[in-house]
Formats: sequence, C-alpha cells, structure tokens
Amino acid sequence: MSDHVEHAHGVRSEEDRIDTGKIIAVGVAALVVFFIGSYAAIAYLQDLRASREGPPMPPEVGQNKIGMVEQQLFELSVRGERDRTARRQRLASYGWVDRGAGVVHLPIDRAMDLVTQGIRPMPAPPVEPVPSQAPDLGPGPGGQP
Amino acid sequence: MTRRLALFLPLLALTACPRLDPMQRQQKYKAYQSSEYYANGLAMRHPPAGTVPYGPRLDPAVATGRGPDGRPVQLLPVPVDAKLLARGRQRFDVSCAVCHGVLGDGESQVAMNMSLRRPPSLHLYRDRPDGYIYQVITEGFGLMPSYAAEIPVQDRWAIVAYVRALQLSQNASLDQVPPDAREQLQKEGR
Repeated sequence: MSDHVEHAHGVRSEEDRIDTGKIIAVGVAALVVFFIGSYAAIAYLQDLRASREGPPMPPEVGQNKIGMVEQQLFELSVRGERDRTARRQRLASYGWVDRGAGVVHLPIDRAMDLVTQGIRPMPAPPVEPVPSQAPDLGPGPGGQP
Repeated sequence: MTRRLALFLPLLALTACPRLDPMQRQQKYKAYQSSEYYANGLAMRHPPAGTVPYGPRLDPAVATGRGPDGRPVQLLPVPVDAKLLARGRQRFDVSCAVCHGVLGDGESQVAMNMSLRRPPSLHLYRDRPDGYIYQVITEGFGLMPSYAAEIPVQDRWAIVAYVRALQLSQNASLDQVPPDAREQLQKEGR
C-alpha cells in the first residue's frame, strides 16, 4: 500500500486558475444578503415608528412669523400657486365686490357671453386725465409714461 | 470566459456613447436664450426695420388701432365672437397675466417683485377706447415693452376683447346676474 499519489500531469506546478463563476456567485450572494438585511432593517424601523407616538405638532407651525423670525421665505414656492388658484376661483364664480354700490363679480364665461352681445364694462372713476391724442410712446419699448 | 467578455465589451462600449439620439442636442437657440453675437445679448430678433409682412393688406384701423383722425378707435374694428374671446383668453393668460394677474387687477408675483412701479390694474382703464389698449400692447407703455413681435395683430385685438370681458366680470351690476345666482348673492353676507 503506497501513499504516493500520481498526478495526471506528472511532476510540475499547476496552472493558477481563477474561478470567475464562484467570484460572481459570492458577489451576488453578498448583494442578496445586503438587500435582505436592508429590507429587514427598514421593516424593523417602520414597526418601531408605528408603535411610538410622534412628537406633538408645535402650535406655531403654519404661522407666517414665529417669534421674530419671518417664515415667509419657506412658503414662496407654494404662495404663488395658492394665490393663483384663489384668483382663478374668483374668476369662475359670482360674488360681491361692493354690496353697497351693487357691484358684483361674474364668472368670466358669463362676462365673455355678455361681451359678445355687445355689452361693455361700466366706466371707471377717472384716475388721470384722458389724453385727447393717442399716447406718443417713442420709437422703442420702455418709454416712460 | 471569452464568450462572456465578448458579450460584456460591446455593452461597456455603449456606455461611452455620449448620446444615442443625434437629434437630442442641436446647435440652435431657443426663445429667451442669450447670445454673444448681438449687442443686446438676446438670441431673439425683431424683424429688420422696414420689413413688409407678406399677406393680405390690413385695414389701417386694424393695423394701428387709430381711426382716420389719428385718435384711438373707440370700438374693436374686428367682429367680437366667442372664438375671438377664447383666443384672447388663451393669449392673455400666456403673455399678460404674468404681470397684470389672472384677474387683470395688477396682483401677481411679478408685481410683488416690482414694488416701486407695479403693473397697473386693468380695471382702472374701463373708460379708455379699445384702440388705446391695442396701442399699449403694440407700442408698450412705461416699463412694459412692445409685444408687437410676440403677438400678431389678430391676437392683439383678441386680447383687447378679453380685457373688456375681464373688466366686466369684476365690475358688473346686479342685473347682469342670472336670477338664480342673484338670489344666492342676496342671501350671502358681504
């Protein structure tokens, strides 16, 4: 019984081969473990958050000024949109402008119908004397009034 | 291994392509872009002085907003119908509402930023002739530049008609309200 092992290629060093398949398999397995771990951590944190009550909302939230600090800048991105929406609602509804004088605002579609029938807006109180000649506005844009 | 590399290398080469669609980026100017080739720094150009538009000859009152006496025409020289007003509304919202507000009352974000000389409320000009409003659009007024290059003649008159509707909508009398809406208004507080 001999313990001498015969190699197929005889006595010489073996070629150092890298098993690419195994390396890719280890990488993929590591990614899978990472994603499973991440998912488990997220689920755990969400459960934790749901089980706890959040901090109470401070009563100052939503005010334009808190103490002496102006909060308006943070609302600039929504203010324009909010104002525009409010004006569009006014443009599409009936309402009083001056109840004492009997002046109302109409939906714009109704006003457009009236204009097609030849009805003109009521004259405005004069703000400045009306020139008898058309304004001479100069040759280019931006002429001062 | 060699086969995998052969598949992988073309894919890697694709990532080096700056863009796959040669039409995506073009050497051209878009509206309002700056340009170093012109003195005013703008890419947008007005038609050269003396340019004559190709098309049917316009009635002088339609083209200028002035009557034979040189004064602004009192009424629109074009027929006012629903189509013209709808066009006017669309063009007003694009070109005018930015400064004068969607209600035409001079309340807008641009007006807030121009606190020293705000765009005026259009409701103060209810008694001005239609031709006057047309001339302001055409020639500009105060800080407002001329919009002649941006808004064609027909659209300018459409805007004038819509401004009249806007003025009427915010300054109407109670008898211009339909009966059912009038009852509702009477019930309301101020």
